[in-house]
Amino acid sequence: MSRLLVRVLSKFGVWPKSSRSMVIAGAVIVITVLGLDIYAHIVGLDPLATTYQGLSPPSLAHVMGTDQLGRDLFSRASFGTTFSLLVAFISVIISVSVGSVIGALSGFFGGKIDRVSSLAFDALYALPPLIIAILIAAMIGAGIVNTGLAIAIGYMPQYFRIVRGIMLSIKERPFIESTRAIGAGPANLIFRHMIPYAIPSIIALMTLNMGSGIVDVSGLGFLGLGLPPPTPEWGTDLGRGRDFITSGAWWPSTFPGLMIVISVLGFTLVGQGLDEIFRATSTRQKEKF
Amino acid sequence: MADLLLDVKDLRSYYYLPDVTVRAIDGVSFGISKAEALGIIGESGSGKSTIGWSVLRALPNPGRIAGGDIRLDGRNLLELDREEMRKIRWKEIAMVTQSAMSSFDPLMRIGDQIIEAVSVHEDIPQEGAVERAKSLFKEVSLEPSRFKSYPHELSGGMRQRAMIAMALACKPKLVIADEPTTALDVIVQAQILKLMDSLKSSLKSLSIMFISHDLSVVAGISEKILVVYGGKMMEYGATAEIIKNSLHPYTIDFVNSFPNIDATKMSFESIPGNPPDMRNPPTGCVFHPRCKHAWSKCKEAVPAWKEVEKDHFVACHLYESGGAWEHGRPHNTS
Amino acid sequence: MRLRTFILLRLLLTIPMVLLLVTVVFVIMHILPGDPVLAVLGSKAASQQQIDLLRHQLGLDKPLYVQYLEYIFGLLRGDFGNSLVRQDPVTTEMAIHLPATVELTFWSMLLAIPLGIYSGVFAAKNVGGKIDASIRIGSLVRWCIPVFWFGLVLQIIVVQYGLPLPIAGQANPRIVGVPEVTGLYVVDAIWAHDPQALADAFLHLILPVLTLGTTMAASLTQIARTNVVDVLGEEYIKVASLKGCTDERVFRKHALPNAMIPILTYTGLQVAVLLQGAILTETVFSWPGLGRLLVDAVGYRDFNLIQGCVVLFALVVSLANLIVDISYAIVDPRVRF
Repeated sequence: MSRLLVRVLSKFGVWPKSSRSMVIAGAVIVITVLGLDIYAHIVGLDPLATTYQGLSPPSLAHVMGTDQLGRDLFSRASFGTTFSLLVAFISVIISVSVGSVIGALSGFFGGKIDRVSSLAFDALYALPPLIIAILIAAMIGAGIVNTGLAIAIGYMPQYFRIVRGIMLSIKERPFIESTRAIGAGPANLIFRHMIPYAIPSIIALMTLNMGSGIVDVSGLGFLGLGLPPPTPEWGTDLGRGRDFITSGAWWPSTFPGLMIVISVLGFTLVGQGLDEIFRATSTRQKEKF
Repeated sequence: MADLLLDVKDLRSYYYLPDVTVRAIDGVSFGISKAEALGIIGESGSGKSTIGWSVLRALPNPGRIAGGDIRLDGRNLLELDREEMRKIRWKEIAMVTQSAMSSFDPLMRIGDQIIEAVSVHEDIPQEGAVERAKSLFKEVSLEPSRFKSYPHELSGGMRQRAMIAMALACKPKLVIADEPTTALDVIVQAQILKLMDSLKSSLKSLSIMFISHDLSVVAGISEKILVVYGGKMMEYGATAEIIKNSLHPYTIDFVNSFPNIDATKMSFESIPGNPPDMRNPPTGCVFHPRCKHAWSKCKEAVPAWKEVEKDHFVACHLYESGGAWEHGRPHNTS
Repeated sequence: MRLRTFILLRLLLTIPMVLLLVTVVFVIMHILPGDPVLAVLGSKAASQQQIDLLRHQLGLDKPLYVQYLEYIFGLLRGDFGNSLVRQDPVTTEMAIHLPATVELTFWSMLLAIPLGIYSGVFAAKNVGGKIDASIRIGSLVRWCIPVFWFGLVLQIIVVQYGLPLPIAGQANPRIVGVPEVTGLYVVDAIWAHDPQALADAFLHLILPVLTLGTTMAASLTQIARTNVVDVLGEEYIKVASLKGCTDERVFRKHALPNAMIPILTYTGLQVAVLLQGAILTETVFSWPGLGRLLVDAVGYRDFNLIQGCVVLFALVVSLANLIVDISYAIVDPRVRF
């Protein structure tokens, strides 16, 4: 199957020969998905409008068919982009901020702060993010910010580890000592001089986690823990579509899932491409023929 | 010329990067006789390590040999196919690299890795290979108790000895030593050099290609020295000649930058400027931007390789017609 | 340090780690905003009496530290409380559903590990080539497919093409049940010498295992490939090649053993991802395991059952990490010294 994919992609000249083209390909995909969403808004599609054509298969009128209430699934899929990406974005922002800041403080100051934080985040790291999200979502209920927070908790340890690790490795470098000697305070040191080193890795991770975030949002939606109805959300919609599979209606569950795969693929390509580029540039600095 | 073990003619090795081609070595020729030690000295980036890797045809990607001739005992190594070259490697030419820590498989005991070097090439029974490995251990003055140790359990100096033992496993004709002592502290460095010296006398037919940036280290072991810079040869001659009677301005500066314990002068100079950017090398003589004695011809033309004194070669316009030292280098210049 | 000392220390370290994990679960469940009582009763008109009664039943009227201590000591005794919905001990409920999850995860890993690791190693061996690129793309795309959608699509395909494969459940209720010895359908069917039941067991396993197994395999492929490529770039590989070893020997005797250590480590750490995937897979295929139990408990807001399942998952992950750390020390001589 992969070979077929390879041939198809080559025909379109989209052969990911380098990390840079991965990033470009991924960015194109993400922009297309967003564009679909914007198009739907501009054209005035209504994801909530019920019709009498319940569960009709894909046709010219309804490109992706309709669900059991007669709602156009293409509209729902397009509008669903907003919610999935928004919640994923919120979760990434929360986990980056909390994880990185605590990681920076922990790595910089060391001592008790470091020991306690490391222990806490190690414990958190052991729990699968989705389980944490399920737990929190069950306790605090649905909603855009709530769901974003529920997902964010599981990913904080990653940022904590990266930033702390970088702090530890740069802390002893001569240029930090000299900056300190000039009289720079800890806040200045951390934020102006040390964190910039962590930024490439953080950005790559954030992009990858956008992908994971989208999967987690839809996972929660699928389990019924996501945004409340009638919000058009990919996971919720495809979860609801399960009931109709046996009666032959394959489209309510297929198309939202396809949207998930495409948007996650876009972000993952960008994230992995960025990661490879950043890793290559940092090793090239160490090279000498 | 007749009994040259290694005969290299006009070797060119380039690294083909995506945006530019780096001419790491651009026309190097030299020879090593049997039981002779040649030292190749130069700064980092001069291409000296590339010479060693080229002889073994083991240039890392994206490097490739772009031209020239490498003959071992008359055989052209560049014409061999992969399998034939594999048989030559280690059995006739072996290498001792700089980083002994990362040169050993961390999961395998040291003794086993030396045995592997033997058994991969020779069809002798296991006990024979073990015997040979153990005797090599003794030759490099490693305690036999260390035979079953893992690489990380040995100190830097011990690992280097083990590497030398491994290199000698198949009784090669030529050993290429690429900065073998650079990563070691001075005392251990002296031990290793003493070891190499004694091995040279005990293994009578062993030739050595000693590559380094450290003249003091090279001088102790080599009979002849080749000076390289910017991928090109600068000077070649007997060790004593190179040091006491340097001809090329680069050699003069290079020798002067090494402190001499007997000398009376209290300061020593370094060579101003930076090594050339090998992606865009200077025109004409590759050393001219940093040369104190450069004149108009140096920028325009590449100097020819000339035998200025007996068995003492140099590539410098100063010794050509019209050059300031055409009739000999003045003795009070530095 | 000696291997024995290391193992001992690592075992001792497990205790505070597990304590921390169960505390994290407690914190999430008791300290987060959101009243579990109202969640259970629903915010409809529940009388104050009902609210207070339930609050007392759950022990939520006691001070927080008392609740915490009772929780910890309960866990030590193996008492996870009673299910609010079914009124029986949580441990009983979990014991009933555990074998199904074990069966699903076992067969999924059996598919995932050889498939994933072999593909990754194979890709690394041909690094830069078309095979490598196809495997990389394939595993990347598969990684982006949510496990639950993959399962749904499989079900859709079976229904649309009328394939004779069951799309839900662990067993066909119409086949006379085999006596439950282990709770693992395959094992029990073999034990009872019932070929029809055995076939039934495998048929029901096909779709869920394909779903969960290929999901895991996608991660393992990337992990395996990255590590083998990293090892191939090491100096000692080059030296081994220089020494005269054939490419095959270098790969098998030097590259693979060194790469396998981090690969197996990461595989062990994938247990967390495996459990996550199991929860979703069991939901899609109505598989009667712990994952589905948890999801149902969440649906009913069965407080104690939710807590119990999550704690169990956390314990399993801790156990997996422990095994990984100890195996690492056994296999890599550098770690102990």
